[in-house]
Amino acid sequence: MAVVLRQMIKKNEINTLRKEFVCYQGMILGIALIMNIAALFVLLGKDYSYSNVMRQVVSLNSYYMQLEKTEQAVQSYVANGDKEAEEAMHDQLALLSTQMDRLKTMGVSVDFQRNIADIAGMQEKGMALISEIEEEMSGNQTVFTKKVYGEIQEKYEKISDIYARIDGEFKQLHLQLLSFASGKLDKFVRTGNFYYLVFAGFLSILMIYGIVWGKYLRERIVTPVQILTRAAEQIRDGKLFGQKAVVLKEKTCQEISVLVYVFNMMVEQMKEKFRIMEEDARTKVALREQELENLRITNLLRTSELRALQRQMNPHFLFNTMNMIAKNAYMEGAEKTVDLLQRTAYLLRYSLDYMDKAVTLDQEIEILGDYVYLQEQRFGKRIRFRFELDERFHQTRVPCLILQPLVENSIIHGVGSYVKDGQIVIKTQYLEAQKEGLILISDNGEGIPEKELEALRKKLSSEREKQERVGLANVYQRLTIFFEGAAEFEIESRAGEGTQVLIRIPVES
Amino acid sequence: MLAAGVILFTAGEIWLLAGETYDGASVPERKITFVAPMANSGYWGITAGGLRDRASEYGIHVKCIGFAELDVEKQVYALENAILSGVDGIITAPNEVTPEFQKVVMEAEAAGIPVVFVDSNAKSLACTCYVGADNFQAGKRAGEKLAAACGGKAEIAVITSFSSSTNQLDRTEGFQEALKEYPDMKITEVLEGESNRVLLNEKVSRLLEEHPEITAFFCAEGYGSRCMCLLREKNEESYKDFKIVTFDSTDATTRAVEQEIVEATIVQNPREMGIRAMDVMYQLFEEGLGEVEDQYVDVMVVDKENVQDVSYIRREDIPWQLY
Repeated sequence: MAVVLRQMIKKNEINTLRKEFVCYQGMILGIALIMNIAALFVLLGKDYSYSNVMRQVVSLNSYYMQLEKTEQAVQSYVANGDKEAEEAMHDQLALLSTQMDRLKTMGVSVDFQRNIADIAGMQEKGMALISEIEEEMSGNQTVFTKKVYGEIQEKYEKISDIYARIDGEFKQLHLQLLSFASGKLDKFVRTGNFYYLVFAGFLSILMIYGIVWGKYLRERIVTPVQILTRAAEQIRDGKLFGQKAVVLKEKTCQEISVLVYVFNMMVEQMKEKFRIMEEDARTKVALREQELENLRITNLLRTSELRALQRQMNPHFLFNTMNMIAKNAYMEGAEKTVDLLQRTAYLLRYSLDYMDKAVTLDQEIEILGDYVYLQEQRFGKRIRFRFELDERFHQTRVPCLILQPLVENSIIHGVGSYVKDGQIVIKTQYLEAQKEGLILISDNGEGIPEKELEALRKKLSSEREKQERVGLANVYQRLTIFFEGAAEFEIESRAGEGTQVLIRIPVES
Repeated sequence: MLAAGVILFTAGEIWLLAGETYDGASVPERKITFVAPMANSGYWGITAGGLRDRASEYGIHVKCIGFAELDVEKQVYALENAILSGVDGIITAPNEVTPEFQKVVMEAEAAGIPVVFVDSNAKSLACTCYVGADNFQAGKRAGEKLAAACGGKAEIAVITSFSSSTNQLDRTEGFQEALKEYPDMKITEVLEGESNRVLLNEKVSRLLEEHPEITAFFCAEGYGSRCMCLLREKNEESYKDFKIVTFDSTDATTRAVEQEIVEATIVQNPREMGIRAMDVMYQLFEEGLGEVEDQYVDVMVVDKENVQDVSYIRREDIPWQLY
């Protein structure tokens, strides 16, 4: 039954929890109903059966009691012959007939009813005899002849005989009735046993169904809910990204399927949201950095502009002043001083005119020559300057005043303290294959201790804010900006052996 | 589904309980009373079974009355009862024809109730019809069988229930008829067993003491036959040389024939007898009272050759009404 019910539900395709419960409840209620009805019927049937047997026994006994009374009434009538006795007899006879009718319709076994029919036949004969006696008695109301009396006596004897015969049947009838009743009760006991079996059958069906349903419930509902709960606990404990989609191996109810589906969807959506949020955060950090950078650049620009403007402000009067001093020195005949002043003026003019412009490497080398001349005048033979030039790329444009600060550095930090044999080499070389120009400024000065060199290199690459004040860093930065990072700047040094600065710039052919 | 189950179950219950409480017992129109001389599940039970089985086919009810022992007075009383009850027909066996018995049969005829005799035919009494074995012929065949077994020379004891029993008288007559051809065969004694095993045993022992020359027995009725077979089985040694022919088929006689301690047994067909008696009764009802020819049911001489053909099914289900 349960299987059929489940199949019916399967036919309706959707297997919902509600249906499952309704099905189970229906099953239990149905079986309980059947069992109750059966019990009721068994009880009623038993009651009916017992009372029926009782009624039949009572009916039979009543008939025989009535038979005896009737016999007495007949006897009394025959003895007295008066009206009263006759009426009493008629009453008794009527009652006897009623009792007999009841016996006839009792519906006991066929053999019993046959005996009743036989007794009824005898009773009829008896009644016919009684009527005959009545006739004779009424016909001879006053005087009975001996013959009539004899006839009446004879008939009465026959009636007595019939009475005795009917009376003799009683035991037989009683036995038949009891055997019928006991047979019926036996049958009833057997039926009762059958019902007990039916009860037991239904109970076992109920039990088996309960077990099966319990298993079914565990598989379809409890296990999926446990899996879901475990998954939910993991999410609660923050292991969202370790969480895989919940997959149910067993079939389950529709509600649970929906729960699992929605749960998985929710987990996926949460993961997606988290990813988006993380990306947002990263973008914001990057944006902030960008903003800071922009701000710094703006700042730098402003400072540079200010400086440039300030520089533009004073130089010309200085330049004019120097020209005036040079003329004065010429008039005084100090030719050497004139020369020095003029070279200084060139230097000054160059720095003023091209400060924020690009110049050719040729121009740079030329002005470096002026600077070197001035330095030669100062240091005499203590420092020797040497130029090794490869002019094939000297038309390349570079920022103004990139070489002078390097040479100045070499003098101040390198060979400035030497009394003799100081040497500074300015070398250019064109690497045709790589389309690169090399500019090398090397000295044989004191060099830079390793630790300081490291610090210096760090300074070059990182602390841009403060680089402006340092010549080396300034040059590096300007080169980087000018060549948009394509220029390379290397500094090598060893304590006591000198320093070498190498600039590598791209050359456009 | 459930509802259908409940309804079916309930319907089944009602049906079952209805069957329990009401048998629908109503008596068929035609009522017959069968008064057997004895109430047993053997010969008379089988007869009654044949009667009742056939009667139920015709829609007739048969009331079976029997007695614990042979008692003609009680039989007469039962027959009177039947007449007074106004039955449609009476079947009985005139086991012993007394004046009272004659009177009651005549009363029945006077009341227009057909009386059919089975088993025994009372020649002295006019009945409507006789259905049963031709007892004279049966006795004759028994005589022939015994004479053949004894080689034509023997002193014979005949065992009856009561010498007045009509069927046994007929059988003995037939038996004697057969012996006429064998002058050396003679009946020494006729015993009355009175359907009492202890009495019979005693009488037989006394007889053998008085007449040691007896070498053969003829049992003219079923009960005596059975007792004789049992006696023969018990006294294997001293009864060894007796030649015995019995009547009817019982467990003991069949066994005795199989073991060849009895020469033969004359077997009647009580079931067939009952069926044919009922057929006659039905015919009487359909065609009205009139002369119906006597009907003879064949008997079978059963010896060791054909003993396995004899089937003997007792009828325990007859609701005998004992008086």
